[in-house]
Parts: sequence; structure tokens; C-alpha cells
Amino acid sequence: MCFTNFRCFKSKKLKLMNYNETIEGILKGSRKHLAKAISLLESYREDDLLIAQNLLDELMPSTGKSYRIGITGIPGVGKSTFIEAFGEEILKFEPKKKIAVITIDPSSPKRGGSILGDKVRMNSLSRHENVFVRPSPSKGEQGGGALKTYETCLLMEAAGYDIIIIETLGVGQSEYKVGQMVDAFLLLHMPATGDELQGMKRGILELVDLLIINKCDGKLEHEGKLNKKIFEQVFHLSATKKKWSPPVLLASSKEKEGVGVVWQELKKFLLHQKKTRDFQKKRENQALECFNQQLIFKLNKKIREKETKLLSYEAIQEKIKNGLLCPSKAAQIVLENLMKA
Amino acid sequence: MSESWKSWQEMAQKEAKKDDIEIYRLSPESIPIKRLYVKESLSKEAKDEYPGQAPYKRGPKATMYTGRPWTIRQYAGFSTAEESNKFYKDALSKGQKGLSVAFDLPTHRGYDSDHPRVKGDVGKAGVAIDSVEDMKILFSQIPLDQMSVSMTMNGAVLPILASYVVAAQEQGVSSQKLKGTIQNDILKEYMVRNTYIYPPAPSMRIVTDIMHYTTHNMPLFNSISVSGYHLQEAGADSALELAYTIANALEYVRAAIASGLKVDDFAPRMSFFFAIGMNFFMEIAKLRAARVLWYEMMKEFNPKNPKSSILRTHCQTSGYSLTEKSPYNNIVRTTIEAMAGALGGTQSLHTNAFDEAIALPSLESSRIARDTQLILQKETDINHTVDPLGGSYFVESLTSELIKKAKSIIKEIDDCGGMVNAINAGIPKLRIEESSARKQARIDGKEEIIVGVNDFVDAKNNQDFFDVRVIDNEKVYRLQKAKIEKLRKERDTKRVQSCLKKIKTSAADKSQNLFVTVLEAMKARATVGEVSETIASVFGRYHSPIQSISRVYMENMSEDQSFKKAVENLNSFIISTGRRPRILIAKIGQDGHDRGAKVIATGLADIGFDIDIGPLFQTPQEVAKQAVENDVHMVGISSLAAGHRTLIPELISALKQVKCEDIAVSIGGVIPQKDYKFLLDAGVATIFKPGTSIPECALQILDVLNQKS
Repeated sequence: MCFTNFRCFKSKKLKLMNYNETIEGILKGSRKHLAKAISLLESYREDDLLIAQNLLDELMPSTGKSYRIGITGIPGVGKSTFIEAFGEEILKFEPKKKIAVITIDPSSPKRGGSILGDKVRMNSLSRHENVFVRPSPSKGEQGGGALKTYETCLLMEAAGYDIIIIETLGVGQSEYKVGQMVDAFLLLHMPATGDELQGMKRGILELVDLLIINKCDGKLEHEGKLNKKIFEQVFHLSATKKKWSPPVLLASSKEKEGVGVVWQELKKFLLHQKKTRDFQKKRENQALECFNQQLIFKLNKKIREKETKLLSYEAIQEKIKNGLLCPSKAAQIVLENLMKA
Repeated sequence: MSESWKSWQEMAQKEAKKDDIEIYRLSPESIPIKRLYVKESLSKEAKDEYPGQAPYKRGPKATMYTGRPWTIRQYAGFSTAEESNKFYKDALSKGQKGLSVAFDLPTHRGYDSDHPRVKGDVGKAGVAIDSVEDMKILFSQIPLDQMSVSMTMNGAVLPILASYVVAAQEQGVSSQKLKGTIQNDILKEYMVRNTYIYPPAPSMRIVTDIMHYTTHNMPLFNSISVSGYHLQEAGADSALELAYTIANALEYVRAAIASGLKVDDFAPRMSFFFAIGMNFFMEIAKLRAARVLWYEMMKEFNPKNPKSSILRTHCQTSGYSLTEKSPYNNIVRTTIEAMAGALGGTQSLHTNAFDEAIALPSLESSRIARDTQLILQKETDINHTVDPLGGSYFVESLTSELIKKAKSIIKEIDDCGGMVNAINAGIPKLRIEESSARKQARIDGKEEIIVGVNDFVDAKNNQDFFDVRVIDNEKVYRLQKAKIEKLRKERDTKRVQSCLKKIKTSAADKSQNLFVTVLEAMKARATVGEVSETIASVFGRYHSPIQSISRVYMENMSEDQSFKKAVENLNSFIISTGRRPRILIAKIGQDGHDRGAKVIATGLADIGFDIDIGPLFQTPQEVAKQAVENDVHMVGISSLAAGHRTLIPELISALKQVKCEDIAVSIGGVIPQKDYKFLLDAGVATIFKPGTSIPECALQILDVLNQKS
């Protein structure tokens, strides 16, 4: 059974949670209310999602005042450990800052349950009074995972968090999507040999604002320094197109070295962005992009819901597969039918 | 094959009504167990072997128990030093021959009893020791030059061993005369149990510093007890237990040699510690195999002293095999396991008390445990002949198979570049967790029968009929706190400070022996916590990465009816609430036994729950914070170290404080039935009894959640 079907079920009764209390709670920074609102966003139920949407809409005036930082890197590169060291470093310099962390854990493909263990790796950060860590099961792409992450960000901003860190899954399309919804995108890399560097996803490098070579301790230190040179060259070559050439930094989150520099460099980048007004432009585009995607997402869902009344969706797909129907013509038919319905 | 073999085969086929009758089953170690072993089953090279001679398969000594029976050494300790001392003296007067000290968890993890993180654990699963003063009370009126003392200590090994040495000195006994064992086996702590303090590399240095000191100053003392026991308790099968223990031991040998010791200086004083579970013949074979493996593996270091490659071991019957249901059955289980230990040729033995799945052993249950060994030694003929099973086709074959199996596991570790690397890569932990999840699936699927638990269940549970020991944790805490305050007032603070400074310097300087500086500090009446914190300021405290496995459980269970039912109920929960049930599985306090929590986490995730795993060693407030942020439906606490009476009410009130009383709290682990009412009154939603299968747990959880919503 596929759980995405559950969103079709209609609600019997509204959630017990008090709507106004939740809004007030979030604005006051209540952990409980923020947590519950995020759960609403993650719900499989249509009625929950509608409530979440209204909530967010009311909270919009209080959003936008944070730095959104995406952190990517392959599984095992030490993202969580890095975030722990990084978060603690920020709090050392700026103890009044409130930090929220969103981590995305893989769901078991077969049955859909997840084991979410990220707080384990952010042991001492997650204990901190000013820190809110929320691990989310990925639910795969079709759940609109990235869109939910964006909206979770907004909720956290409304609750007064100044810095929002999003840790990606480390594989797949979601990397790009997260890269396109943050103010700064950090790539964590592990010292590796030349061959392994070849295999790095070029697309990701283009989104990156800061590259950190992590685990530069012990035996890997030398390798790390070599890698730094290579990356610097890569960025240098493509720097003409961009106004910002991403710095390449060495760090060891285990030894807690170099992590402070990352924060300083990141702030430099963000200030640079603000000065050039790129920051604002990026955000505007991201909001519009989110709107576009939501529109497509909702439209798609509508079409599927109506499919029984319309010309069978499956039948159309079958025709397209067999080359009997031109895809653009097919889309036209479906759209026209939808307008009529 | 002979004529007789052929005709046996024919007859057996008829009797068993099967064509393929040779293999009866696959053991948990994946060793095929045959229906019949005959002379041909033995390897061609098999020759006459003698006890006391290489490769020592038949025993480390020529006369074995006919010369001297194994040492009855019962592991005990609880509450305060005063209480434990009373208990020890009583046991020694009734036939026990050596002492084995159990410390409480705060001591293991290097915290003083008055540290705010550890309140609920003080004096619970062992005795609380904060300074030399406590150690002196612990051994008061016990002459340490005559008594062999074993101490299970790994994390805070420096201040604890030092306190013992100082306590002896102040009793008038020089360290030269001390005999006994310090566990000092830190590697296994990173695989299971988790009572470490520092990261692996500096911890290995502590191990070798102690080996240096004992080699030169405590010639009768075993500097290390390489322990497989905890691996089996965490779910490792016998081959994994055997292989990882030997691999750990080899890592210590290499480290000691690298630090400048000669193999013959320290290897004769290395000892071992294995678990004895219910697979009777496998366990006998394991002890025999261990001795052969050790002999063979030690060749790499060219020892001149034969004692360097003779494996001597302590054994303990399995705690894992004990059941909470029909607990008197545990006496029988322990007896069988004790016999296996004796037939395998152990040097000393601990027999568990029958009520250990429920609580800390009482006076009466401890007596029965001790008497079990006395009966084996005095009433049976088990120790009238050396290695009575030597030459048994079955036992000899099993021994060879286990050696082969263990070698291949050791090779996997070698290929990683040794155990420290393998641990950093998380390999042993993962293997053990896999083995453990598979075992749970076998039990839940009734492939492995546990009488009175998953089959032949007695409707009437007879737990109510006997007394269990209850530790008044608050009282112990108050007493310890008062003692520490007194100590801090009376000692020479300046001297302590200067000692601690020296510790800091020697921690940073590998050429110094840390133990020597710690010894001075303990003499000056520094506390276990102060010393540990000082060292942690240089080494850091270690946080274990938690890995989790998935689908191992499901692969073995997906056809099971209760499993299917659980999945079905879960799906309807999602339909009505819009969310997967989300459960935070957490441990509170200093109890690091996380096998149960891990198995439950994997099993529930496989059924379809979203599971958050909490870090180890959390305070109730930290668990509550995590539960709130993740908006879980339920917090499931796993408690194995008796801290629940203090910690659970604290958790519930912490949840109330943030107005999240809608988050249900459940608990499982070692919970005495007489605490059920207390816990339910405190607000616990549901209690998982030991032996509850994972699908049953899932159904129980969903029931609670459905009632709530």
C-alpha cells in the first residue's frame, strides 16, 4: 500500500489543537507549538495541510528574518558532526542567537518507517536552550519533501530562529532542491584522491557558496590540503561568471578545528550578498519558485483526483508510451477537460 | 564411508521421514549441526592432546580441577561501600573464594555521586565509589594480601585501580602482594555496553599505562580481563564473541609492545572473560577453541614464556538467558550454563541469581547462585577428571568449526587494519546488532523456544512470591553526598589541586605514565570525578555515533501473523491521524546497555514506525526537550540499571512542565513487577515486560495511542 494515498481521506473532525493558541505560541517561540505545526505540514491528510497553509499564511509577516544555510555532502562525510561543531561555534561568538536545524533522514523504501538518529550526532548542540533540532523522515520525493522543508523554514523563522541549518540527505535530487532554497549552500567534502574528485557532481559545485574539506585530521590532513588546491582552481576558472568565488576551507569537526573560520567566512559571504542586493533577489526568486512548484504540485494532484471523471489518466499515459499521442497534445486535452469539470 | 554409516543413514531416513537427514539445523553461528558425529567427523590430523600442553585445548593446567577446582567468584556490589562490605563478608564466610566488585554507573563513567547528571543511578547497579575513603570501607576487615579481587572497571579505571592500591597500602599491604584482576578492557565498551569516558585512542593509552604499572609493581595482578561476556549479552553469537574477544586481546598486545613492554612481561598476566549461554555444547567448544586460538595467534609475537600464550578465563552464566516470567526456571538455566563453563575448563565462575531479570539479587537468590557451584563441585563428579568431554566426536568437531569461523571473523578485523580502525568504522557494533536482531526474530518467530516465555507459558506468574532487593537511591545519594562534602572539607585542597595539575600535564605528555600521577592524586584524596574530569579536559569525553540497521528483523518476520497484524493497525493509525506513529526510544541516566533499545528501534521501524533514537546518557529534561521538538507520540524508555524509580517520574514532570503531557511514556527492560503500580501511578502509559515480542510491543503502543487520540 502506498501511503501517499492517505491524503485523499477526508477529515472526520478537526484537530484538537487550538488554532489561535498555536499562532501565539509560535510567535512567542514555544517549542511545543512549533513542533506541532511542523507535524501538520508533514501530515498525510488534506485537512491538516489546509490548516498548516492557513497557519503559515498568518505567520508570513513574521518570517524572512533569518539566515538559511544548506549543508550537503555525501553520506558519511560527517554532516551532523560538523553541524554540531559549527552550531556550538556560532553560539560561542554570538550566544544570543537562536539556531534551528532541520535534518532529513531516509525512509525505509519497503515499509516507510525511518530511524532518525541525527540528534545522536548533535548530542551537545541539541541540548542547548537556544537550539531546536527537528529530524524529518524524507518520505521520498513525491511527498513534496523539499517544499515542506521550505515551509518548515518559514515556521522556524516565525518562532524567532535567527539561523536555520538544513542538513540534506546526501543523495539524490533533494540536494539540488535544498541548494535552491537557502541563502548559503555549504558543501562538505572528505579528503579523497584525484579519481574520486572526478566523480563529483558538477551541478552541485555550481550551487556551492562555500566548500569545506572536513575530516582534515590525522592521516587525511595531507590529502585534504591537496584537494583544497584542486578545488580552488576549479572555482577560480568558473569565477568569471560569478561575483563570488567560493572559498575552500579545511576543517576537522572531530578536533573542532577550522570550524570557527567557516562561520567568519560565511558571514563575509552573507554580508557581501546583502551589499550587492543578491540576497534579496535570491529570496524573491526562491519564493516565486516555491509558488510555481506548489502550483504544479497542487494542479497535478487535482488532475489525479478528477481523473475518474475525466478521460482516464492511465489510458492517456498508455497512448503516450506507445507513441499514439503527442505529450504536449495530451497535456492540452487534460487541461481542457479540467477547466470544463 | 563405512557399512555401518550407510545403514545408520537408511534407518535415520526412515525414522525422521526425511531424505536429507545429515544436517539437523544451522546454529546461530551458521555452523551446520549434524544429527550424528562419528570418528570420521574428526579431522585427519587429530592427534592425542594433553592438558597443560600446547595448544592447551584440554585446559591450561595438567591436573585442572583434580588439582584445584575452579574459583567461585560472585560479582556483587550495590548501594554504599558499607552495605557491599557487609554483603562480601557474609558471602566469604559461606564458601565464596574471591571477590568481584560491581561499581555503579556514575563511577564507571567517572562522575562523583553528587554530579547533577547522575542522580538516578547512584548506588543502583553497583556500589558507589567516590574516593579512597569509600574503597577503604569497601574492603574493611577483608585482608587484601589474601583475597583475590576482581574489579569490573574500564572507563574510570585509573582512579579506581589507584584507590584500590592506596586502600591496600593504608591497610598495610604493598602493591606487590595484591592479587586479582582489573577488567581494563575498553575496546568492547565501544562495541557494546558503552561505559567509556574518553575516545578510543587515548583510552588505549590508559590501558597500556596500567599494564606498565602492574607489570612492574603488581606482579600477581591481572592487568586486563579481555571480555567477550558483554558481547554475548548484547546479542553476539558465540563465534562473534570468541573472535572479537581474541581480536581485542591482540590489539592490546600490539599496543603494549608498541609502548615498550616485552611480550613475556605482560602477556602471562592477561586474562579473559566469557559468557556461557544456553547452547551447551557450543559454549564448551568455545572455551576450548579460545585456548587454541590464543596459543596460535600469540605466535606472531614470539613469546618465550609458555604462560604468555596460555588463555586463562573467568566465566559468567548468561544474564540474557534469564527470564522475568517463571523466574524459578532461571535456577535450572544457570545450572546448565555453569556445567558448560566447568566442562569447558574455566578458571573461575560467576553464577547468576535467578531474580536478575527482575531486580538486583537478594540475599536468598545470591545464596542459591553460590550453592549451585558448590553443588557442582561437591556433589557431582564433574571435577574428578580432566576435560571429560575431550575426544567427543561432537565437541571436538564443534571446537574445530568454531576455530575456523573465528579466524575468518578475525581476518575481517585485520583487513580493516586492526580493531581500533574497525571500531571507528563501526563494523563490530553493526555485526553484533545484526546478530542480535536475528536472535530476537528467532525468538519472536518461535524458532528458538524459551520455556515459559514464548511457549509453555504459565498463566500464573510466580514473581510475587519472593522478595526483591530495592535500593533506596535517595538515601545512597544523600550518604555519598555527605561523605564527599566531608572529604572536601578535611583534605589538603592545595595538595589535591597540584596533583590534578600534574595529571593534566601527564595526560598531554605520552611519555609519562598517567597511572602514577593519578595514584598520587587519589592518595591526596582527590575524587573519582575530579580525576576523570581533569583527564577529560585533555582527552575529551567520547560520544558514540549511533548506527542503526534496518530490515534484518523484517526479513525474518514478514510472514508472521502478529507482524502482519501490527502493520495493519499501524496503517489505520496513519489514515486516521495523518502521521506515522513517531516514537522516541531513549535511555536515561548512565545506563549504556543499549541492545534492547536498538532491537526495538529496528523492529518498530521495520513495522513502519518513525523512530527517533536519543543519545546515550541523557537527563530526563534533555529527553523531554527532544520529545517535544520532534513532536513524538510516545517516549519509550529502556531501563536496565534500576534507575527508573527516580528517572521516570522526573521525565514525566519535565514533559508536564512544557505542557506536553499528551506525549505518552512507556518503559521496558528490567522492571520488577512490584514497581509496576508505582510507575503507572506516576503516569506511565504502558510497561513492556521482558519477553514481549516486537509485534506485541507495536500493538501495545498503537492501543495506547489510539486511546489518546
